[in-house]
Amino acid sequence: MFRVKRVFSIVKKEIRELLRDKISLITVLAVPLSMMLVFGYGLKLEIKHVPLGVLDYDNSYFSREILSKLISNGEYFYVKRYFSSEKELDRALTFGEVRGALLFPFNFEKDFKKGQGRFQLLIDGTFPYRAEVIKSYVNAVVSLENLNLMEKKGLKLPVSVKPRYWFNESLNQDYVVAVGTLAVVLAIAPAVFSALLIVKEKESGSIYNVYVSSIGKFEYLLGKLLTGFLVSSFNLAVLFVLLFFLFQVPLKGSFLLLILSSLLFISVSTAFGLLLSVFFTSQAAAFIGTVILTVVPSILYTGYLTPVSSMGKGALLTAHLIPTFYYMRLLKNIYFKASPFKYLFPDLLTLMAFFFVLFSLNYLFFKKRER
Amino acid sequence: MKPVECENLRITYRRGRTVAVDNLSFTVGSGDIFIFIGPDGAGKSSTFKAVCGVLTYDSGKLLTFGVDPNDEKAFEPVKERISFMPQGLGQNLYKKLSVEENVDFFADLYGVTGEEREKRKKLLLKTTGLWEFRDRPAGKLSGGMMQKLSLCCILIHRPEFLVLDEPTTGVDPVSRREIWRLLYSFNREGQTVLVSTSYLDEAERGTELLLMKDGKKVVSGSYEDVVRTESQAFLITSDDPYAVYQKLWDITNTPRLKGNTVRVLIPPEKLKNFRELQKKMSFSAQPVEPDLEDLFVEKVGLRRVVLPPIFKPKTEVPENAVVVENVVKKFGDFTAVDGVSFTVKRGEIFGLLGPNGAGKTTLIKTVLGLYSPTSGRISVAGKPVGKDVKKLIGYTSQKFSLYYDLTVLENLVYWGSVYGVSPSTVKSLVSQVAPVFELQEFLNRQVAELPLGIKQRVALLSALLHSPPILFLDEPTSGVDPVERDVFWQVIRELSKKFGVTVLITTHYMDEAEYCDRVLLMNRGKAVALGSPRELKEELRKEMGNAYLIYTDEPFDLEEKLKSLGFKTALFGRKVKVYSLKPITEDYLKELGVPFKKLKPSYITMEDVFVFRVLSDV
Repeated sequence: MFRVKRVFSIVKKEIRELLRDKISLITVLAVPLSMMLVFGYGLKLEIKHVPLGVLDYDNSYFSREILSKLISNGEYFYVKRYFSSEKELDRALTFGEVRGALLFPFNFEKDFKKGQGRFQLLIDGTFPYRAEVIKSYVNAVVSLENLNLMEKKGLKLPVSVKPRYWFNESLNQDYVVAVGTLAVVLAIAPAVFSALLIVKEKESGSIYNVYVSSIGKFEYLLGKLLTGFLVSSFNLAVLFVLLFFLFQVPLKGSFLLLILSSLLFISVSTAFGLLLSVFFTSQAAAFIGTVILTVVPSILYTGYLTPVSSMGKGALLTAHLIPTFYYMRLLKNIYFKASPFKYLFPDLLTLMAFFFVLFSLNYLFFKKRER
Repeated sequence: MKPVECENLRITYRRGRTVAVDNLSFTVGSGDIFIFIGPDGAGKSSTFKAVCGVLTYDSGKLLTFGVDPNDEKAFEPVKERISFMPQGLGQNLYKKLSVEENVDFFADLYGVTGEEREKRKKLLLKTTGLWEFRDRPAGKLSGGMMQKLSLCCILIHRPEFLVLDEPTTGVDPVSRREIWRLLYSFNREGQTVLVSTSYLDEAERGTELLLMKDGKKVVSGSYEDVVRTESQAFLITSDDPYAVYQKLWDITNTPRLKGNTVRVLIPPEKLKNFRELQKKMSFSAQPVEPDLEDLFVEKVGLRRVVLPPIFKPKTEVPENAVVVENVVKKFGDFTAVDGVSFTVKRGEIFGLLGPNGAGKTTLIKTVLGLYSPTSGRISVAGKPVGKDVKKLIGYTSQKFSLYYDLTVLENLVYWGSVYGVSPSTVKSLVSQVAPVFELQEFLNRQVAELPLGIKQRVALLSALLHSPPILFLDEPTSGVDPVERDVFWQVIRELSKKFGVTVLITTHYMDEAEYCDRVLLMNRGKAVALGSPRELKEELRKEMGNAYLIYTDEPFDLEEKLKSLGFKTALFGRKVKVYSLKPITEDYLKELGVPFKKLKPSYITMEDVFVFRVLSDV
C-alpha cells in the first residue's frame, strides 16, 4: 500500500543526516559550485595571447608595418622577444618561450616593392588547433594588407563578404562555455549525489531496515529520488545566480522554460545516479563509476567542446543516447535563440522519456533483499 | 503457526562455490528464546537473513510464519510481524540522527503513528535507560547503548518475532546482561526471540540452542540436553599443571591448560587411567559440570601443538619486561586511557580484558610506541619505547596485518624482510613450522580465500619470524571456534613457558581470560581489577559468596523476590543466578518462601568479576 507519509519520512531523514554531516554537506554544495567556477572561468576555447618571437634581418619600414598590424589588436598576439640570430630563435621555440616566430629576410622591403615580398612564419605545431589558428590569423592580416595595397593602387575588388554573427553577436565564447558548463555540472553532480544514496545504506548496514520492513520499493525509491531532486534543486538555484550575476550571461528566452527544463534534467540525472546506486555495493566504486559514466559522455558527446554535427556518424548516434545532449541543446536554444516552446517540445519530451525509463529500471532492479 | 520451520536448508555464495549453510534443520516454537551459537563464518547470519527474507536460499524447506521467504510477494505481509537486527554495533542506526529521531524514523517506516507511537517510544526508551539521552546523536553512544537503541527501533511496531544477529558481540558485560534482560522481558510479553552469539558462555541463556560450525549443525536442543555427555569433566589444580597437562594427552584429546588449572573431559572407559595418573602425579581433580566448550571440544577433538626451539628468542629481556606507569592517552577532550599502571613479568601471559571502546587497543598501541602517551611512563624490555625496542617486539593487529592478494608464503617472506629476516631463513623456518601450525596445504594459497582460523595462525606466525622476546597480540582470537582457539593458546603457552616469551594480549572474550596468567580488566579507559583469574574470582567469591542457579518458569518474579530478600542476582533465561555467602539449599529456599523448580550450584565467572567490579566502581 502506497503511503505518502513514508516517502516524506525518508526524505526528512536523508536531509537531516545531510545537514548534520558537515563533510558531505560541504561536498554536496561545494562541488557543483567549484566545477562551475573552474570550468566556467578556466575553460577557454579561443586562442589568445600567443607569445611571438621576431627576427627582423630587414628592419625596414614595411616589416615593422606588418608586425604592428599583427599585434595591433592586442588580444591575439604579443611580441615576447626580438631575436638577433636564428640560433636564439630556435632555442626559444624549443623551450616554448614563444609559440610562433616571424622571420623577415634581408631585402624584404626591396622584394616587396618588386611584388615578391616574402617572410617566414615558424609555428610550434605541438598543439595543432593553436597552430591552425596562428596560421589563419597571420594569413588574414597579410591578405588584408594586400587588399589595402591593391585598393591604394586603385584596383576594385570583385567579391567581398560581410559576416554578421547571430545569437551570440559579439561571438563571446565565455557565454557559451558558461551555459555549457551548467549542463555538464548538472549531469554530474546530481548523479554522483544520488549514486551514494542507497549504497551508503548498503555499506553501513541500515539497508536491512528497509529490506525487512513493510515499506514498498516504490515508496523507498521515490523518497530517495525526491531527496536527490531537492538537494540538486538547491544547487541549481546557486548555479543560476552564478550564471546571471557572475558570468552575466544574457537570457533571451523564457525564464520559466529554462527552470522547467533544468528541473526535468535534474530528475533525469538523479534517476540515473540512483540506478547506479542500485547496482553498486561500495561507496568508493559508486563514486568512481558514476563520475566516469557521467563526466566522459557529457563532456565529449554533447556539443560542449565541439559541435556534435561535426563528429562522426557513430559519435552522433552515441550523443543521442545521452540526456545531456538534449539538455545542452535546450539550454542553448533558450539562452541564445529564445526558441519558441513548439521548437523545444521534442527535446523536453525526450528528457521526460529518459526519466520514466530510468526510474522504471530502478524499480525493476531494486530488490528488497541482499540477493 | 510456528515462527520458523526449517528443513535441510542450504545457502551458497559465489554461485555455489562457497557453501555458507548446509543441510540445516531446526524449528523455532512460539515463545522460544532460540540461540544460535558458533564461531564467525559458521553460517548464523546467512540463516537469519534467509529466515527474514533478506537473502535468497538455494534449497531446502524454509517457512517463516508458514510463508516461504523466497516468495517475495507473499512474504511482504509477514515482514510486519518480524524484526531483524543485523550484525555489528549499531549497524542499523543512523549515526547522525538523535536517539529519538532514530526511533521516530522506524515508526515512520512501519507506519506507527499518533499517541500509540509516543507511548511506545517512551516506554521503550525508558526501559532501556535511553530516555535521558534521547537528544544525543546515535553515533555518540557507547556500544552497549547503541545495541539497546537498535532494539528499541526494531521493537516500535510490536513485532511478534525478533531476529537478532549477534546483539552482544563486543558489548561490555554489564550492558550484555542488560540486553539479555531486555530480551527476556520482551519474551515475557510473548515475543519469540531468535538470537545468535559467538560467545559460548551465553549458551545457557536461552530456552533452545543450536551449535553451528562450518555451515552445519553440531548439536541442538535445550542447554541441559546439549551439554549432556557420558564423559566426566574435571578441573585440575596442581603444583606443576604443565606436566599434568602433558600427561593427560595420553588419555584424551580434550585437555586445556588455562592459567594454572587444567580442564579435561574423561570418557568412562578412561576413568581408570585417569585415576592412576592422579595417584602418580598427586594432583587434585574437582569434578565439574561440563559446559558447551567441553562439549564442542569433545565433539571436534583437540590437537597437540609442540613448537620447535627455533622460536627461542636470542635476546634476553629484564625481569620486568613491560612496565606501564600511570599512562594517560587523550584524543582531544576524549580520554581513551585514564591512568593505567601494570608490570608484565618476563615469560608471563598478560591479558588486557574489556569491551569494545574500553581502551585496550589504544593502550597496546601506546605501549608499542605507535601513539605517544599524554602523560605517564612506559618501558619495554627495560628501555623507553624507541626504534631498537621495536626489533624485540612481535605484533599482530586486530585486523591481521596480512595482504589478502598475496599467498601465505609471500606474506611471510614479506613480513620476514620487514623485520630483517632473509627470505631463505623464512622459507626454512616455515618448512619446519608449517606442520605444527597445519599450514602446509595453505602455503601457496591466497590469504583472501582462507578461513578465519588459518588467517589468524598466519598472522601469529608472521609476528614470530624474528623470534621476538615480547609479543603483543590485539584481539587475535575474535570469532574463532574453541578448537582453533585452543591451538592458538597452546602456541602462546609453549612460547611463554618453554622459551620465556612475554605475551601481552587483548580480548573481549571473558572466558578467554582463563588462559592468561594475569589479567587487567579495563572499562572506559580505567583499570577495574588486576590479578590472576583465579584470584579475581576467589576474591569476588569471598565478598559475594557462592553462585547458584535456580530454575523457574517465572524468572522475573523469582528475581524480584530474591532481590527483595537482599540477594544479588542475574537473569539467565528461565534461570536466575544468585550469589549468597550463606549456603543455599532447597530447604533454605522453601524457608524463605521462594518458589523454584530446581536448584543447582554454579560458579563465579570472569564475567561476574567484570560486572560486579564495574558496578562497584561506579
